[in-house]
Order: sequence, then structure tokens, then C-alpha cells
Amino acid sequence: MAVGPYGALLDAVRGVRWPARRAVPQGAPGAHQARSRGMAPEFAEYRPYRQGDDPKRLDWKLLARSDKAFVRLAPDHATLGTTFILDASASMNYPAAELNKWTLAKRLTVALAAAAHSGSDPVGVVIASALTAQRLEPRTRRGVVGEIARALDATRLGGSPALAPHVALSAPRCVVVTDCLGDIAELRTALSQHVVRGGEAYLLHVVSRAELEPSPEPVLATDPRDDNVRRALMSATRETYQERFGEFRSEVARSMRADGVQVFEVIDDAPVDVLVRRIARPAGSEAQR
Amino acid sequence: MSFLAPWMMIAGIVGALGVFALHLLTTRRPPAVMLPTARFVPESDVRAVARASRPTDVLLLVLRALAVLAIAAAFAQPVPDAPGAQVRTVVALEWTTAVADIEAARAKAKEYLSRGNALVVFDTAARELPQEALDTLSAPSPLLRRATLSPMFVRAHDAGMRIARGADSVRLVVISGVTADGLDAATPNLRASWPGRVEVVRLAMQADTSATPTLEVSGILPDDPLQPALASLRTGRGAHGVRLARAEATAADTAWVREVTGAVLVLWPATAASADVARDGSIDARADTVISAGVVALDGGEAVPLVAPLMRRAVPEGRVVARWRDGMPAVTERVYGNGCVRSVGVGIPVAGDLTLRPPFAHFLEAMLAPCGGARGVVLPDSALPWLHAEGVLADGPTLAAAAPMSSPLTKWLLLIAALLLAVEQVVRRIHLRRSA
Repeated sequence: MAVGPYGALLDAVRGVRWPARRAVPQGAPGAHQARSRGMAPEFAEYRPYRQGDDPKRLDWKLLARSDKAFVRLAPDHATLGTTFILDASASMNYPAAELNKWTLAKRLTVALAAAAHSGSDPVGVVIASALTAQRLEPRTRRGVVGEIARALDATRLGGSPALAPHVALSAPRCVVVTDCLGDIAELRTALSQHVVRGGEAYLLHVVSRAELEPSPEPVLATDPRDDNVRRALMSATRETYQERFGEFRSEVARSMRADGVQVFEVIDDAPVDVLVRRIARPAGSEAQR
Repeated sequence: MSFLAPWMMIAGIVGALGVFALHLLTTRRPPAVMLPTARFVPESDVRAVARASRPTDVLLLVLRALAVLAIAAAFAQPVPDAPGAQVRTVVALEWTTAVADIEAARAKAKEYLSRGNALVVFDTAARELPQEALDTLSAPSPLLRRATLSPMFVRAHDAGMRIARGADSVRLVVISGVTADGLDAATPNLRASWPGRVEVVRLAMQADTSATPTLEVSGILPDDPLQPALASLRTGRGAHGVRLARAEATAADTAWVREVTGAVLVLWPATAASADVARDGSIDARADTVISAGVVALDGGEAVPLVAPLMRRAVPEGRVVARWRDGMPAVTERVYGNGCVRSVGVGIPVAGDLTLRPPFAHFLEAMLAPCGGARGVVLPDSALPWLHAEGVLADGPTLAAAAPMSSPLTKWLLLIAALLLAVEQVVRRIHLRRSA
């Protein structure tokens, strides 16, 4: 797999599995527990035989002892398609020198895609950019993670593209990687509908450390999404800014979680492999952030 | 160079220092930086105050400081100190035909004039002239026979205040004959307003011949009501000749008045033509012999009303010698050649003793007076102790302080300030455009 600069990261997350948070619909055999029962050697429960059941599934020993026909059931497993929707807007291009937000988004996507793909899940990506929008449908073939990495590396950031329309076309597991500075209201609606349809929704809220703790030097802060927004960030306004930004992040997380969306705030200076393990942690193992 | 309001200059310097201080406390626009979360920054002034060890925007600082200083200097009103000696002189020269030798008067005035002094020429009015104008000053009009001191003092005071800046003291030299008719009720008060002594240089005056003119009467009838008055009039061989025409003036009369210096032709028709009355239009014209209860008063000088049923006639325009009660001119005179023609529009009633009464005799003397009116009596110095009282000269700084002066530089300084501010606007816009 030609993954270039992501090699070390993929080595760090090797062995990480990303289980579904609940039973997935029946589908191709995979690593996730399915809602249906199958015929695996692993015993789950008995069910009375019904006409039409395969006689091979009858527990003959039980029939001999109890003179009742039961079918032996085992848990079924299926794959869970995953679509990453990446926000490639101008605001992700920050800080401009290091591109930390976008770099974090790329590395997280590649690492999570690798984790999902290691469980034979099909993975795909939608790169929402006003300049170079791209869509890779979820696939299970080898090399798909590399394709995703190359597509991400070739992306040019810009504009303020909408993310919500891509959610409806997403695979059952939809992972949105964004800084939530775009169409957040529409995105919330789309993700909640996705959850209602039985899918899983993840929101990876990318935040830069420079946004949390801006430089104390007075600057004229300009919004890359909207040139008309030019505000003086100085000692007099810094505290209010931090308060407002904190309230915004809290409100996004609260409202999304209320709709069943898994929300993770990822900061650009955090180790990506740690973030991946936290995001991929099975449901109920530990309280989410 | 001195300032009329020096404290304004001090205020301007303080203001310029304030501008300098403001340039140390500059408000500058902070550098623009991309911040995706800029929307969470509260709205505020995008300029940040910064303190600098050196003034910023030196060109703007210079322009602003200069503009403030120019405005301050304009309001401080800089005035150049008048050049000249420490003791300066206001020369007031009487310029009338009553002066016997006008060239001698001119020469006398020249003796007192020097750089920094002022020249005031006066008759019944006064005006300040540049010293150079004295040489080219034309001879006074024959009608200007009287010089009044009141306007002279007013003008001399103004001139004294003008030249007092930079001088220790100012003296006032009055070159005049100083006659009684040159004084009025205001003269002592105006003299007192001059804060120093007054030097009076007496001029020789022409002989006062108004009382004894050389009189010739033409066209007079034996029953003319003027006959008794003329009979009692003192006449002799005066310096000026008078022709009284009771009929129309002849060519010889006009030639005479044109050629003889000081000649007076009095046109005083004996009978009133109804047409003349109609032209006047201001009195009752219902009868052929128009009778009106008129009052005539001599204009200027002494006012002697003549109250009688007089007949009013129109008179041509000219210097008013006497007026009717309603202010209309009754007697006028105008220069004609070397003499003057006096038109009398007062009709004398045939009946009555008007011409025998003293007011009429006085009126008649005024009608036969020299051109410009009778010259008053020359007053001796002893009669006017208040005029040239001994004392110190007028104090220069005191006079200068009372001067309502305005600086000639004020408008130029304000113009310079306006130009500086206009340039400042342009430079500031360029500066803002660059920093944006």
C-alpha cells in the first residue's frame, strides 16, 4: 500500500479495530455484529423450527431428547461501509504556514480509514472543496486507503462548500471531519436524519490550538470564508472571543450528541494515533468526551 | 515684529507639542491575520493604540504642527513694528482757501514730516494721506474756507494709534489758523481724548472781508424790498467782490465771476415766476403771489432762522448755504471759474418789515459772504488754553494698546494653514491607502 508520509501513522494504528457502535444491518460477512442470526459455530440461542428452515440447522440431539424441533442460531457478522466527508474549505487552511487543521483532518481520515478497512469494511471519502471536490465511493479492495491518501494530498482548499448534501449519500457510517464553521445547522439536520435511518454518524470537530489560544499581539482577524468579517483581536477582545468560541463548541457538541451523533473535538496538536484509538473505542467501554 | 495677542501664540506652541505627543501615541491598524474563528471576536475599533519612542508619520506630524502654528500665529496677529524714530509725529495740516499762503503751510508741514510720521489734512473733514501726497496736493477748492478741528482730532487719534507701535511717544502738531468757526461742542472732548500735549503752529489767514464786500447790485427796482437792507449794509473795498443780480444774470456777470478770483455772483431774482414755484412744488401754488410761512436757516456754523411768509423757489444743486425748515435747500452755491455762483431761492415779501429786522440783516450778510462762507475770527492762543496745554507727549505704548489693529498677515497665515491642512488630507489618504 503506497501511503507515503502516512506510513508511520498507519504503523501506529495497526491492530486498531473500529467496531460498530450497534448491530449493523445484514450484509456481506464482516467484523461487525449484525442484527440477523446466522449459522456460525458460535452458539447464540435456540428457536423453534419453522417451515422453510433449512433442516441442516436443526439440533438433532435436542430433538432426540425433547422430541421438539429447535433450530440452533449463532450471531451473524456483517461489514459496515464508512464514508468520510472532509471539509476542505478555506477555514481548514489554518494556520496557513503549517496547515495544521487540514493536516490533522487528513491524517485522521487515513488512520480511521485504515482501521475500518482492516475490518474489511468498505471505505470511501467525499472531499468537499470549492476548488477540487472529489468523491471516492466506499470500497473494500486493497489499496483503497492509499487512494484516499492521494486524493487528500491532491486537494486544494478554498471557498465555503456545503457538507450537508453529502450526508444523505453516505455509507451507513458517516464521519464528518470539519471545523464546524460552515453550514453547521444544515449538517446537524442531515446527521440526525442519518442516525434516524439507522446509520452511525461521527462529527470530528477540528480545532486549532491557535484558535483556542490566539497570539496576544493585536491582530486584525480576518475570516477566510468571508473577507467582510474583519475584527480586531487584542487584549480587550481576547477574553470575549474565547468565551464565545467556547460556547460555540459546547453548543455544537451538545446539540449533535442530543441527535445521536458521536462528537469528538480534535485539536491539531494532539497525537493522531491516540485520537484514532479514542474515536474507534467500542461503545460502552468508556464515557465519550 | 510683535503680536497683538501673544497668548494665542503660546497656545499654538502648546497645541503643536500636543500634536507631537499624539504622534507618539499613534493609533495604528494591527496586521491583518487570517483567523477562521474571527466571527467570535466582538466588534470593536480595528485600530489599536500603541506608544512609540519616536514619532510616527513624520511628514504628517510636520504638516499638522505647521498648520497649528500657522493658525495660532494668525490669531496671535503678528504686526511689524512701524519703522521710524522713538518720537513720532502726527502732522495735522489745515488745507483751506482761508490760509493766506498755502505753499508756506505745505513747507511748514514738510518740516515735521519724516519716516514713520503721519499726515492728516483737514478742512471741514479730515483724511490721512501718505506723506508723499503732500507734494502733489492740489490747491483747496474755493468753497473750502473753513477748517473744523473735531474731525481732525478723530483722524489724528487714529493715525497716532497706527504709528505708535514701536515708538516711545507720539506728538501731535496742528498747523492751522484756528478760527472760531473751526470749533464746535465736541472739540474740547475730542482734544481731551488725545493723551498728550498738542503743538499748534499758527498759519497766517486771509483777511476776513465778509462783513465788507465790494458790492455791485444789478436789476434792482426802487421799490425792491431789499433796498432798505442793502442801504444799511456795510460795504467797502473788501478782498472779494460780490455782484447781486436781482434780475437775470448777464454774460458780463458770468464772465466776471469766471475770471475774478473770489468773485461771488448772487442770483436772487426780485420777482418769483410762477413756473419756478411750480417746479419746486413743495408749497401752495394757488395764487400768483405765492405766500408761505417759511423758515430759512443758515446751513452749518451759526444757525439764524428767518421766519416770515417767504416764497420758495427752486435752486440748482450745489453746496447748501441755507435750508428750509423741511430740510430742502433754500440757498446753494457752486464753483464757477475762479469764483462762485450763489443761487437764492427765497422770495422776499413786498409788504412788511422783514428786511428791517436783524435776522434778515444777518441772512443778507451770509448771502454776500465769500465763496465757501464767511471765515470766522482767528482765536488767540490765550483763548484756547485747553487746546495746546503744556504737558508730556502722548505715550506710544498706551496709544498702540488702544489701537483696534488687525494684522495684515492674518489672512495669509490662515491661507497657509488651509493649504497645509489640505496637503495633510492628501498625505493622510495616501497613508491610509497604503496601510489598508
